[in-house]
Amino acid sequence: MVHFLSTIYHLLFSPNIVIMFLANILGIIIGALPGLTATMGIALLTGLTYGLPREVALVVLMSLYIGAIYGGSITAILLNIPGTGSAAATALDGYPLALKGRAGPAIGMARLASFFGTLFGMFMLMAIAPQLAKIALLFTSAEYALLGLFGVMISGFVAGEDLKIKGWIAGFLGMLVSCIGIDNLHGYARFTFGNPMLMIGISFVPAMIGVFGIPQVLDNLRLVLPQRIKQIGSVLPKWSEFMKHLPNALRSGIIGTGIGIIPGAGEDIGAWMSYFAARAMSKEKEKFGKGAIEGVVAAETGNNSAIGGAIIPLLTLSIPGSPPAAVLLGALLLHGIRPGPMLTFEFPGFIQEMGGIMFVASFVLLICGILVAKFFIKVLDTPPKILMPIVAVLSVMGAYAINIRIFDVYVMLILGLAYYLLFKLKYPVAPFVLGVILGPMIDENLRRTLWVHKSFAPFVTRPVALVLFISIILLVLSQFKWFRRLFSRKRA
Amino acid sequence: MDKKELRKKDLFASLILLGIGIWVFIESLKMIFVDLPGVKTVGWFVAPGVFPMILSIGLILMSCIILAIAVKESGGIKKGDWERIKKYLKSKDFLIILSEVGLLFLYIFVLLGRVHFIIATAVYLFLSMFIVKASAWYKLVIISIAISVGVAYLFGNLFKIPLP
Repeated sequence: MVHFLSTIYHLLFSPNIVIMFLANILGIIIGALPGLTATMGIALLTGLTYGLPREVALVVLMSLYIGAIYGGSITAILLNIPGTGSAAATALDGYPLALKGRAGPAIGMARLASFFGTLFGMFMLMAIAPQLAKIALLFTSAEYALLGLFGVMISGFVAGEDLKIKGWIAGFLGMLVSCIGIDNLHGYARFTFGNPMLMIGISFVPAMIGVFGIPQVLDNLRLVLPQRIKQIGSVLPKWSEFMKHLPNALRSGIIGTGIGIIPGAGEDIGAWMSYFAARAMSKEKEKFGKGAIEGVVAAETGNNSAIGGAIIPLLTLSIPGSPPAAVLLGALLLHGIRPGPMLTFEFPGFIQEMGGIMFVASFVLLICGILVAKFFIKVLDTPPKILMPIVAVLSVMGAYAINIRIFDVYVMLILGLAYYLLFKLKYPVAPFVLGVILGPMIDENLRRTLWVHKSFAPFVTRPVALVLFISIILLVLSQFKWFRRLFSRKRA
Repeated sequence: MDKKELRKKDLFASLILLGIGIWVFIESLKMIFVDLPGVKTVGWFVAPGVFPMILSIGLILMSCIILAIAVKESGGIKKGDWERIKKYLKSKDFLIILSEVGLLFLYIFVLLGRVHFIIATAVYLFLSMFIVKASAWYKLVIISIAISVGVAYLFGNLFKIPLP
């Protein structure tokens, strides 16, 4: 506790606070720009902060991390292009809110939710880090495979506007796209047609930018009359407004942190799972996907609380909970810190130090978020006929920047155009993106389980796996009339 | 779009998806019986083709369900539907989409990498805005150049990302 308080004190009364502000603003901008992710931001800054003292480098990297995870929500709400994968769930309700002229309050609420989520994750990190890490260790390949599949299936179920099955088809197509390239277990080239560029596989960022961005550009550009959406409401939402969503935020915080702890799951799944839970528990389920502020709160609390969650296994087990945390691990090693079971002996008080930085950074986010949001919100005043070609250019740069590869831009365009046709037939975008993200995890863990156990038994004999398996089966059966009748009869 | 109209389009889409599913199934079959470590000793179920095969079976089943729903709810394809398609293909909406797609191909496949990024981007932006008559041409020239330079500076100078 002493370390925690002294870190806060030293941060507030030293020039480091200015550095924290700048890093946070940079993080928000990086997060907001499509293609520039938190992972990439931390990776870039790791090199640039190498020469700085350890404390300052940590301040820069953690502030950037927190800012970037929030920043993704800004473009998700304003342009329906999630700046980061973790903001894809935010776009589902954030963008419809912007179309209704409520971009300001949506961004404001996203900021409060991110603030709350970061703080929640931080407290979880400090309070129950070792205990929660033990639970995450219980997950084996079977659970990971089923967790991934459950994520895709539930995403299709929730996002399906027309038939639920269209959401699942979208998810399956996404997973199929993720199969392209060299497979991780055997090093076997799948669906590459002998093209060396396809050997590396399809990165999810260009795919995500393509399917979110290109349909938007084509759909809005053809508007004959410029349609300005008058934005009403401030980017400064009232606390009382946020307090109405406190149970939702608390639930999302718990889910986000829990998901964040699971190695490899990260902020993206944290946001999705929180969103699905909010929808399932909501009294106004029908409003989700059409501009429910509850959806924005859940997704943003979920992804920011996953930061604290992802750092828990990173510090205690040296296993990063998310891709940005993986880069952070590299940065910590670079500065001579060896995360793992020995951390508390070698660097006593380090977890508290991280907690202190996260605590101050979450308040800094509240202030920086307002400054940056006010600038970004003016974007919506631009007529779509001018804005959409700019969105296309940003999508091109976003797809290119992630790997500095022109091939990714081709992938972005082709997937975007192909998905435009499905988009017009009400095939939701979100399950496709989640399929691309989770496909490799499902594939690898499915085959690893089969390899180790030489049978499908672990999927139904391990308790957690069985729960996930039954949930998937129930989800599928819920679409059959005879199954629904079975339950309605029982209730009657 | 009314439900009947949507189902008619679903009919075509489900056939395409069914085709993709069958193709993936055949391709993944080729990846099941391969001479790889583990596949021969452990079994076919660890082969690289297992996951795509499971996905293709799912896709085939789901496409068949969509096809069945579409056949049931669309009321069949009538002569008037073809007329409507022809009318849409000649509409201004469709021409704008087609032009934009063409410009995106020109920008990404032809200009990028061959012409300087700022020039390529400015040309694309100007033409895209010009075809939808976003504003007076001289204003569009200024906007296009300003945005191109801004994007190049942001990514190239600030984030140190080599431009395409």
